[in-house]
Amino acid sequence: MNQEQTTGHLPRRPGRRPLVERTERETVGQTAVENPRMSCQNVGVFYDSKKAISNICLDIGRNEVIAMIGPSGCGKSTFLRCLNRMNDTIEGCLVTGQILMDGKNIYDSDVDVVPLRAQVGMVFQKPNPFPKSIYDNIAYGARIHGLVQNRDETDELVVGSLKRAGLWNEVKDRLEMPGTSLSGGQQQRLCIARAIAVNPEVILMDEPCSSLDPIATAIIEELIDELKQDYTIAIVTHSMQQASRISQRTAYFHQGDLIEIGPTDQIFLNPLHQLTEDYITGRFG
Amino acid sequence: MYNLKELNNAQGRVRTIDIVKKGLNRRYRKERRFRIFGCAAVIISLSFLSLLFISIISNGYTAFLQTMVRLDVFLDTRVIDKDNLADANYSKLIHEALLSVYPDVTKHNDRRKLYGLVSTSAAYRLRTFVAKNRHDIGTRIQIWVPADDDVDMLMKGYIDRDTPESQRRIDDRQLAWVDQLVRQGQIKKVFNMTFFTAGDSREPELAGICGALFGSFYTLIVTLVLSFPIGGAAAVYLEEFAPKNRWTDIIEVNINNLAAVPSIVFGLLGLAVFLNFFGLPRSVPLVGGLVLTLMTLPTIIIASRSALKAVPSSIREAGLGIGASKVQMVAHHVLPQALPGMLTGTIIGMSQALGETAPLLMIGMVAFIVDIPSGFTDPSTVLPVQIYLWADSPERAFLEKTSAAIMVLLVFLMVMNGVAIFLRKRFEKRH
Amino acid sequence: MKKLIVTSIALVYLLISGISQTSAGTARDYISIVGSSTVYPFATVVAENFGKKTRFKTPKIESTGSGGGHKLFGAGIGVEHPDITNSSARITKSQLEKDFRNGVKEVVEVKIGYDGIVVANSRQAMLFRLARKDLFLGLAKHVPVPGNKGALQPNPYKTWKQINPLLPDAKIEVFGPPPTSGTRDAFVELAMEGGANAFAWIAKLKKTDKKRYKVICHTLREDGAFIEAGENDNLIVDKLSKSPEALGIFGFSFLDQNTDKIQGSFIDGVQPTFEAISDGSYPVSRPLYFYIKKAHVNTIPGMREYLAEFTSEAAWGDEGYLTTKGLIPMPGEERQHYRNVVKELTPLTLEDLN
Repeated sequence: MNQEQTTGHLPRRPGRRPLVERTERETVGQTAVENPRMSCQNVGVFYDSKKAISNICLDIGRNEVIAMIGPSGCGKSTFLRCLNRMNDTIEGCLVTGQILMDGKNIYDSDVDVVPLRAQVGMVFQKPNPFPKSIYDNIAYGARIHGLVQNRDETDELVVGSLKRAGLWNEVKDRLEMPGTSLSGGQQQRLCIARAIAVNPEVILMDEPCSSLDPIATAIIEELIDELKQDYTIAIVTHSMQQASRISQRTAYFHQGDLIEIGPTDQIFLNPLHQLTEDYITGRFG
Repeated sequence: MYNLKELNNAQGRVRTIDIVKKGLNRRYRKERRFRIFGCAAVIISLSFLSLLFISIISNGYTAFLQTMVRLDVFLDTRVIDKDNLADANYSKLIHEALLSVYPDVTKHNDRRKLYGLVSTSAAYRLRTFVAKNRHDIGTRIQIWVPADDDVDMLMKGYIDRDTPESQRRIDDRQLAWVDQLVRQGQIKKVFNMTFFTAGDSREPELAGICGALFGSFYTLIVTLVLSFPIGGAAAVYLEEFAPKNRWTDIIEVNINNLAAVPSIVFGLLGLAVFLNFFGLPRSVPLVGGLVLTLMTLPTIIIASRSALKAVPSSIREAGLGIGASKVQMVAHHVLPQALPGMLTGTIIGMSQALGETAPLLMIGMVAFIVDIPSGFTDPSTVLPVQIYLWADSPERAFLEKTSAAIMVLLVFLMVMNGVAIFLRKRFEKRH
Repeated sequence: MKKLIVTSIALVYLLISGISQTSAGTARDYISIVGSSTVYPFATVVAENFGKKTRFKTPKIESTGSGGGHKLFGAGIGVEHPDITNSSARITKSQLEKDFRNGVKEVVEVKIGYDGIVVANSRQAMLFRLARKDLFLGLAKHVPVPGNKGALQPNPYKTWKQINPLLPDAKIEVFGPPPTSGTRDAFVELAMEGGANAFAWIAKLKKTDKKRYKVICHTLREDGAFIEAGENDNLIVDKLSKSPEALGIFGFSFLDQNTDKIQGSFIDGVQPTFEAISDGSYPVSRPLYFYIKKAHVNTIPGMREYLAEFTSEAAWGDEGYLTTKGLIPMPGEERQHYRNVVKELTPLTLEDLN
């Protein structure tokens, strides 16, 4: 759509080296980081023996925002959902390879998904607040995990989370209203507040702004920028401007393969792979 | 029909709007026709329904009234022994009271006819009265007793005085006696409390719906207590937890088939399992409820499953994403959302169960039971069975009782549905 | 959610306490009666009066049909089995033998009176004077070919006049009970067999080829002349007043209760009246019975009192309350005989049924 314009004002460095061929599927760029929060090794996902992604090796660093971009159906969302085992809920889905967190493969048979998901929170593409009050939406996760003991603690947590999500001023006098009564952007911030209420270490965001207008999007992007002080954030996005605005590293996916990973500036200004170049210059996608 | 390309290429280019306009009338005609059909369908079904109500109410409203006769009874100390009230001959006192109104009736046969003006229950009423008012023994008292069902029918206008005497249930002499009672103000029509407080009886003027009402109540309690949790749990397990494989497919097909099985089959099953195998007693609400549970389970499971299916999967993901376990996710988020739908399914199942007679026939609940059941293992019958039994009774006066019982059944149904709708509304409001 | 759980726990508790409360005394404290739908109206009246007069619970009476009742009755001894079965036909040898095999060794038979089966039509139409032979020719599926002994033909008669010139020129249209009904059994046995016996060669078949005899007598027309109207006799009465040409078959008590609408046809010159059925001159009548399990008499409370009530003059006597319900009483001696049977509880033997 408007990718032409996007790439239009990104300055190109002259005299660049030749790009990697389109047919080449090996990941280009630095996959490993020092002291990663999560480390993925040869991750593959199959839906009923149909390959969705394969051979993904990628580290997710501490307190970074890593963006995943790529055309529809490239497997970026599938990969994201591997990180807190949300794929488990899909019938016939098989995950291979290893995802290490604190030195432990989260797909080991003795790993419990409940604490994992408390540790790795998620915000979905469509805002999906529970059909309960705003207050209960925030308090729910903390209650089931036993993070709060009494009403005062809960109040404190709810207020704190709403404030961090930048929603407090808008909803402070209607906490008993159902979460579904908010506008789309507010709902999504409510979902973010809900996710941070359980104080996770990693937050996964699956195209969190795709159903929002530009103003709501800008507010959420600001929020993400603030949140990266305390959390590691992995975000899937369709919008390349968004990736370039908020992320430190960007991964480009293509047809189930991780094609290129690198610092965001480099990916957008000076990609190493022909496919990445094609995508960011709007030749497809 | 129209090839757009050709049209555009044609010399005198036809505009799309012209084609659309040409077809427009036809489209609107179709729409109007469909609307008329729809309206007609609604009107027809409404008129059938109102016809049903009108016929039931016009046949049955008189059953809520009862003809009473006032008698001046002398509580003769020679007949009533103060120390043994139960065994006194109260019929004799009633007969004497009647004879005192018509002293000229002497022949044995005529006296029998005269005694027939009041219900056989008059003596029992007198007995109860005396037991309560012991100090009245030896005095003359006034007591209202129910009239015989034939007199009742006459007073309500169901017996035509113009038909020849031989073809009437009430002959000319009895007619004259009744007319005399009316003149003396000794006959009145009162609200028929008996109908709501008594069990079944072979005397129409004594028959009541209370026994069947309680029977239905106990039976449905058993059905509800069993079928809602079991059906709900089965639906939740199948929908949320069970793996989707050949076995669950087979189970699903079987449940769907069970919903279409004629209800009498469940009665046979109940007879074989609950009565013959487990040795539970015949004719009791407990077994009736068990059988009706079998019958309503498929309905409730199917409705609950579709209610669960209708809960958006984003809610499930939200729950799981925050770290809820599967059971927490289902219990905290999915069930509250699906509950209104599950309740609707339960209402449908329970309404079906309320109207069933066929399966109850096999386990002995189609029976003559006078005593009002006081628990789940007392022999009892249910409302539709009572309707069936009365409709099959030869006495004319049971005709109006039948219609009245149908009204009671409908009211019971409405109350039941009302409660369920109230509950559903509350659940919907809360979320 | 919490409220729901609390309510359901409360309901379960209610249920369990209800069960334990009543089943604590395992013995049944009411009489359980099953059997014939023809005897049902009489037995229920007795039960109700018994319940009102005594301190015992009112017996529970199921209308299961004579055969069904006997099956339940003869299944064994114990509170789960009924104490009494009503029957509109006498117990058969094979039924009694089966009872013996199931441990029901002592069965007491009590005859309670008679029931007449009437063929009636609307008062607006002409009164029929039928012979049983007319009924047979009018209703059997196959009828003898006139003048050709031993030959049968599908029933060709369309009007009653074709059968008997003295009968009205009305279409043959008869509403009757379905085969599951005791009234139907009695009708085919008493009226149809009686009518068929008017043909000497069919009467002979009864001895030589019983099967064929039964097929001839018991198979009713299926071409629309005989219409099965369901077990509900009120429905038949209702239909008769709407179609004056038609006849209907049902128990005498329904005629008795609806004399303003319908009239009972003469059969073999006798009209169905109280007296005619009682003295046996009305041909289509049958005795009614009930059977008692002697082993239960002393274990189920109220059995003796119920039997005493049933056999009292106030109930089954000439002017007893059962007569107002349409039961036709037995002669006084017979009543005395059965009263003694009840007092002594003389069990039935296989020899009695010969």
